[in-house]
Amino acid sequence: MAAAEGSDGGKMIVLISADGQRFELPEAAAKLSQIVLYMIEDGCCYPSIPLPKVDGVILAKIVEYCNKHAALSSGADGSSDAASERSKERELKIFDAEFIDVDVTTLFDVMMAANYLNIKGLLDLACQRTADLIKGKSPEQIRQTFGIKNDFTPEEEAAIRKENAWAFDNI
Amino acid sequence: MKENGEELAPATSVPYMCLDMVYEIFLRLPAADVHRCRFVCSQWHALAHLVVTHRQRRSPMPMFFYRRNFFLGPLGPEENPSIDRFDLQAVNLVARESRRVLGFVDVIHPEEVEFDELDPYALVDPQQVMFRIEGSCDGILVLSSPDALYACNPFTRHWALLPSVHHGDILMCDPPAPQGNGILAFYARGPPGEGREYRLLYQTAVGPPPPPPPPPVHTYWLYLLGAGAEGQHIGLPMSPVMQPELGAVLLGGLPVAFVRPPILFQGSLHWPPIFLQPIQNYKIVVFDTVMEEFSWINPPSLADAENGVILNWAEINLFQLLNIKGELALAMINTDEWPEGPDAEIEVWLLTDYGSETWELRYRIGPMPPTVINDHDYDEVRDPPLYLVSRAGAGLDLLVMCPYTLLQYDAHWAQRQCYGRPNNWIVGTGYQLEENFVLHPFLAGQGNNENPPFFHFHEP
Repeated sequence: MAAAEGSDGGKMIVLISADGQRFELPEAAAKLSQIVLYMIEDGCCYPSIPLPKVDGVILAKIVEYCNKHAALSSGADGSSDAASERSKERELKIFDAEFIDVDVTTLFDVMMAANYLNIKGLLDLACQRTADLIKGKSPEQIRQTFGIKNDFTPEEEAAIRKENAWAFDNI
Repeated sequence: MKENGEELAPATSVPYMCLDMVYEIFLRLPAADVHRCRFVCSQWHALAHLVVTHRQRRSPMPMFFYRRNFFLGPLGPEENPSIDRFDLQAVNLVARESRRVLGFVDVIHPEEVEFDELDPYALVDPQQVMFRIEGSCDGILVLSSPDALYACNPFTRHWALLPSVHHGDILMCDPPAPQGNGILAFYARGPPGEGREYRLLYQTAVGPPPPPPPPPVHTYWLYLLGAGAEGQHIGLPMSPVMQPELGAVLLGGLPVAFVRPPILFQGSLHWPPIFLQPIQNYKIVVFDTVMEEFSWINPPSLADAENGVILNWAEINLFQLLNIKGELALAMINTDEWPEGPDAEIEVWLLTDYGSETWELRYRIGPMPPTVINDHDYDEVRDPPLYLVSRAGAGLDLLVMCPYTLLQYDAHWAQRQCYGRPNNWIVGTGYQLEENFVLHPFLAGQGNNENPPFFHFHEP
């Protein structure tokens, strides 16, 4: 384990995006990514960690997410004050809601990056947001939202629709 | 579908979404939405099919009722003061949302009852509803009312009125007896797919009815759904290795499913530990659904419990059995201390070796935070005061029943969600529901064009 764990003003980690941008962030924030955590534990994080699958625009968002979450959860075990815990939780909730309120393309990029970097909270957030976009929509509305091509033949579509008429009850 | 006719312009940029991600997203969607996703494209069709047929990653959803009646809050213009409305809700623990499963109306209130005279516990008592849930298995609910027995799949909306099994003698009676005639379990037997059978295990009291003395003696039956109206009499089948005392226990009757639903674990039904008068001890009664015979196993012994806080069975209030990642677990609360005492712990024991009945104390959950008691009118008279639930891939969650809110916590008492609806009481159930779209012949029969009494949904 890294020696400087948990200490204020501890180590900084440098991430390099696919397009060569540098992002410096505290180790505690970087460790929210399981992949980065393993690299830190294996000591292969110096001088920097290249992330060839994530471009700069998205990595900037990921870093923003990690910084906020690490900053707000760092005091969690120190102060047991329930009120301040709740206000932090509320602040994170608001942050998450604003953070993920992005266009579909960005949402997918964030989701793919969160999956690749294995940041569980962020992956949850992005998947849940996508699920919310699907909820209550008709198949055609879903195709439109996500730009998916309908590759069924009219006969196939009619057949599955007939079997499952109930699935459309509430739209 | 109105969108059908028009050809919509294809999106210019097709975002890349790999199927792994789509799978993750489907896991967070209500079943009807996943089902609708089958019609989006052929890849999603295959994947949605996979998700709805292989549900192992999806945790079952605990169920509770919203109960709306005129004692709580002003009535809307459409509302009738003599009617209670019940909405059965299922909680998706991962998505942290609840959705409606069934809805029905009940209870004509005597007009003269005043709020002060009313027993508030009766309003949150799961026994005081028109439909009793008799079992939940593979997405099928068995419901009984005083005069009929139903099976339904709330997701496909397929349902059936079951024949009057045992001449209707096992239906919900008022007041419900913890023992006596009644359904003990609803379970599936056999591997998923063709040939899987759905059965009811029930008991009937033979001999004089209560009140005792003498206490009634019981006998046991099985009913196969879709197989006429006759139950198969199995008597008092016992595993040959069991002590004769088990016979005395079975004669005394088991708690009906509605009071203490058993859980199906490795093909056997397991009832939470019951204090058995004939042997003056606690046992976990087991019914092997393959051999169709009863036996029992021992809960953790007091010697095991030395490491735990709970030293005396009499102090324990909550016995809940659950399946934690494929192991049988037993949750216990120290009654004397709960909820605010310094030793108010929940202990969760795991049966690590079934053959040798070895239990291990695996989780300890600390006392309930005072905010629950203060902010949500937590009411300790409820039985059980809370439910432990195993959330897919993420350990244990707690569901705490408060009069007007249902609170979801993780095992460290961090609040994950608060469910509630204005002017509604929360009524707990001990059941969980699994989403399932398999169509069964016994549900596909008559009646599916009519509206059964439990699909009466209201907008809150």
